[in-house]
Order: sequence, then C-alpha cells, then structure tokens
Amino acid sequence: MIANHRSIASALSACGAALLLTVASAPTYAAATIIIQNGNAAGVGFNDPTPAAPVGGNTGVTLGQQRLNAFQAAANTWGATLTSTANVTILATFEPLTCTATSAVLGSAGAISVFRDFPGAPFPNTWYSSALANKLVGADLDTSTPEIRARFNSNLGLTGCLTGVPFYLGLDNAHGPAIDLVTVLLHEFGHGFGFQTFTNGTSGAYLAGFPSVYDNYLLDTTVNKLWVNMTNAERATSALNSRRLVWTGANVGAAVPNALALGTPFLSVTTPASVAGQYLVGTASFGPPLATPGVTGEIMPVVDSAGSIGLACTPLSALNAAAVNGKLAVVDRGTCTFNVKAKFAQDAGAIGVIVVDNVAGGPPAGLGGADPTVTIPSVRITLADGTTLKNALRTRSRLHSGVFATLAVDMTTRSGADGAGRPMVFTPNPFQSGSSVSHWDTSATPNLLMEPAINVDLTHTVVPPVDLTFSLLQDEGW
Amino acid sequence: MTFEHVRVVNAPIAASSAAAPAQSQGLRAYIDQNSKRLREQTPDEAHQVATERRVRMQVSRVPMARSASANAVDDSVGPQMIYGADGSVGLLLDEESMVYQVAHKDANGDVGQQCVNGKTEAAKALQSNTDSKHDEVRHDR
Repeated sequence: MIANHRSIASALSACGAALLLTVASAPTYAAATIIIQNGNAAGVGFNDPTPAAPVGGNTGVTLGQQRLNAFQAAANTWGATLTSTANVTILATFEPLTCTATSAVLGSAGAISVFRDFPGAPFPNTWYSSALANKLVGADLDTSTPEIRARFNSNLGLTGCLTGVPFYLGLDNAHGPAIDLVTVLLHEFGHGFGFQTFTNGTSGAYLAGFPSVYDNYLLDTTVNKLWVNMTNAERATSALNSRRLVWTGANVGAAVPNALALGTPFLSVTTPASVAGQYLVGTASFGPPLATPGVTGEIMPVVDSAGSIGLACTPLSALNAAAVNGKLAVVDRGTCTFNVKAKFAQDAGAIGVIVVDNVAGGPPAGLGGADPTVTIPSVRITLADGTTLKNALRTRSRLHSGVFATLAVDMTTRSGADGAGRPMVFTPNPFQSGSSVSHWDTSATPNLLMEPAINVDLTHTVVPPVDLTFSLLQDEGW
Repeated sequence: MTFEHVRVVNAPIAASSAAAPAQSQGLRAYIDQNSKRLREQTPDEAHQVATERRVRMQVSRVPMARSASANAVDDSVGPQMIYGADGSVGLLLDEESMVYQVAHKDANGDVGQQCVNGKTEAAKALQSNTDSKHDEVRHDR
C-alpha cells in the first residue's frame, strides 16, 4: 500500500541541539512546588545507607541520598517550568521490581487520579490529570491523595537485574552506558503531569465514557477529524494510522520550527503509475544520510533465496550483480546485519539499498549498524510496501524493471512533523500499549524527551527550542 | 543539596495505618512472601486502605457512570469515582493506568527502552526481546 505521507527518519540527528541549549530556559515567572513523598522504610530505597562516592554533581554520600537527589533534580526542573499555586505531590519509592539478567522494569509512574468538570475546567466532560486539574482550580481537589505515583527499581544493574547496567545517579547527564535516572524521571513525570491520553487506544473507548484533554488536540490527517469527534471505532483505527496522527495545539505549533530540524527522508517512486507515490522509510545509521536532490535510479531486486527473497548476506552472484549495477537494489531483511547487505550491494555497483522488512507493521524502523566503508544510502520500508514494489518488479527483464525511484530528503518539511508543521504522535501498527499515541513519533529529529524510547542523546531539557514537552502541557492548560 | 522548587517529606505510613485498619472484615495484616512473616504495610497499601475508607465514608461511591453519548464505556478499567460538592468528578486510577518503562539488553550489549501501560503489559514486555522498534540505534538484523 502506498503511503502518500512524507516519511521521516533520523538522518539529521546531529542537528543543532547543543547550540539550542544555550538559549533554552523555562519562563522566568514559572514556579510550582513539587513535594516528594518518600515512601521507603528505614534502610532501603531512598534511605539506603550504602556509602556512595559523589558523582556528576550529585553530592550525596549514600546510595539512598543520591537517589533522592536525582529525584529532586528532575522534580526541580519541572517545578521551575510549571506554574501552579497548588503543590504537586509525588509518592515515590525505590524498591525491587521485576527483572531478568537482560531485561528490567526500570520504573513506573503516572497520575493517581483524574478529574473532570471542576470549576474553571477549560473543556467540560473531559478528564484532566489531577496535577493539572489542581493547577487550573488553584487548589488541591483531593488533599488525601498524592497526584503522581513513581516507583523505581532498586536492584537495577545488580546480578540478575539488567546485569551491569545501573541507573546513573549523576546530575550532569554524563551517563555513558548506564541509564540516566534524571532523564527517565523527567519523562515519567511528564506523563504524570498530563502527557498521555486515558482513552483506550485498542478499543477507542473513552475512560469511563469521557475523553481526556489530550484527545482534543489529536487530529487524524487521513479523515481530518479530531479524536474527540470520532467514534470508538474511528479512534481505534486512527491509533494505528502511522504518521497520520498529529498534535494541533498552538504552543507546540509555535515551538516546532525551532525544535525540529528541516528535512524529511523519503522514497518516491515515479514510475510506473500503478505504484507511484511516496513511501515511509527508516534511515540507516551507516552510509551517507539522504540528501537533496538525492539518488534517483531504476529499482532492481536481489534474488538469492527461495520465494524470491534476496538476503544479500554473501557476495552477489554475477546475475544479481549485473541486475543491481547502477541501480537501487531491493533486498530483504534477515540473516545478516543491514550494513552487510548494503556493503555487498555496493560492491556489486548498486547506488542505493532498499531493505524490505520481514515482519508486518509500521512505520519502518531505522537500520542499525556501522560500517564506514559503506558509501551508498540505505533505507528500510515496510513489508507491505515491499510487497507492493516486488509485485511491480515481477515483469522485469534480466537488467531492467521500468520502476524508477528517488531516495532523498524533502527540505520543506520538518523531521517529525507533517507538511503543515504539526508534530506527529507515535502510532505504530500493531498498537503498542503504553507507547502508542501518548508519545511523539520516533522520527522527530533532534530526539525529543517524550518519544517512546529514551534516546541516549537527550538533554535534561523540557522546554523549547530544545524540547516540546512543556509546550504540549501548555496546550492542555499548564 | 538544595532544590528550590522541591520539598521532601516522609510518606505518612503511620498515619495512614492508624486510620486504615478499621475494615468491616477486621484488622488487615501483611505477609512477606519470602520470609512468610508479618511485615509492615507499604505506602501503597496504606494509601489503598485509606482511599477505600475515605471513599466509603466521606464521598459517594457509585458504579462508573455510563455516558449518554454513543461511545461505549471501557469496562476494562476498574477505578473508583468520587463526586465532589463543587460538581467535580474524580476517578482513582489503578495500577494498570501507570506507565512502565522497560529496558532490554540485546546480544551486542545495547540497551533499548520502551513504555508500556500497566503491570500486565510490563510483564509481557519483559519477556519479549523483539520489541525495540523504536530504538533508533539498534543493531538488529
């Protein structure tokens, strides 16, 4: 199936985050008090007396104090950014959470309660996280209940619990291979403040029959409808509409031009008309980034395995080499790494590589790997789009297919936003509970705090021009 | 260290515990699953008990309202509703509403992370090494 929407990927990830940092700051008038309610008993969690050497600006000398300092640092960033006369209370603990040697629950967080139809609510019959509701009311609607619950894994990094990968407790973001706790906390607190929908993305059903304030700003550009104007079935469909669900809030819209880099990678098939159009692509971490005007050529497949599959995990045969020489080579995902496939195609004379995914779903992820000797661009497309292209290639001759395409970057749109400058929210297919809808799309470049995966290049910043988290919360009423 | 916009307090475990045990079914005790001995109530348990008591005694507790709209109610959620005198309506969310951050380490030692909703999905995600679709630096094949 052809995707007419412009594709996006991370080719321009090096764009100016460092420069932007120099002018990033929270509004000077902002202030809110965050109360961290230490829920640990004596001797454990935040009260763990194990001696620890100060690290990365964290002057605590026990493990417990360092954990608490990291929590405070993240909370302080939010406290300096948000404005509320009502305190925000976070009930927090460090405790053993589920893990194995190679996986772990890092932690969990979220709003403990939501409110609707409180005095002054901007939207009637609409759920707000309790912290935001309190801010809008100017008082605590439920003084006996904290606004946010946060629990984090006290065993992380120990043997048997994501062994060897602990939380980095420094405050300077110099986390190396460890997991930066402050960044994780900034992200999770963001959800607790309101960066999430409470609507069920699988069924499309509202929470207890009412939409979340978040839903008011979600626009499906395929049907041109806001989530609040859809039926349950329409919302469920929209939650799977990859890179077609955008955020329409004014504060985010104003921040996008400075937060997201120009340049949207794409694969554009020009002929034949039956398959012409733009296809979503994931870009590669090896080889040259896509550029303008890009690489244009005829598409030819590699076929070296049963079922017309072309793995390209070994040097290409003479027939395959002749077919892809001077062309865009289509290969299949599987068996060997992506950069190996690209290198063998390059050695055969290909000018670019299109990797067809071998599992259903979208949008296409990037291509990981490294090989400095790869000098041709590579992209990944979905299995569905690959099947479409392969069908068009069936009528090829030994050296020509008549299918022409361009791998390039559209410099008129921003990476992570649609043509109208509206950032896309994450809507993979199949649905990913907890990730879908309540995060920015992974194609945002530079990376944003509220993408579903916490990327290693994030800074401890929640405001534009570096980040869009606070802008989204502002749209909701913060 | 000092943080201008943050205060730290201890969770009111004792206060919650004192207010909580007057359940109609009697006192509530907690067993450590490893030692099989009695243990202290956790803050979450204290909060849950206090909430149950408050909901039962101080605010009206009703089944989740069904909207008059055409949209069906999501019956999979199990929180309790609170009706305030000012017209506000609150909903106490449960553990399945929490956002979990789960990490995986692949064969290359690269760590990918993902958000999932609720304890159930987190447990599934822990068992799945296939989901790092959004890890932008993953070296998969």
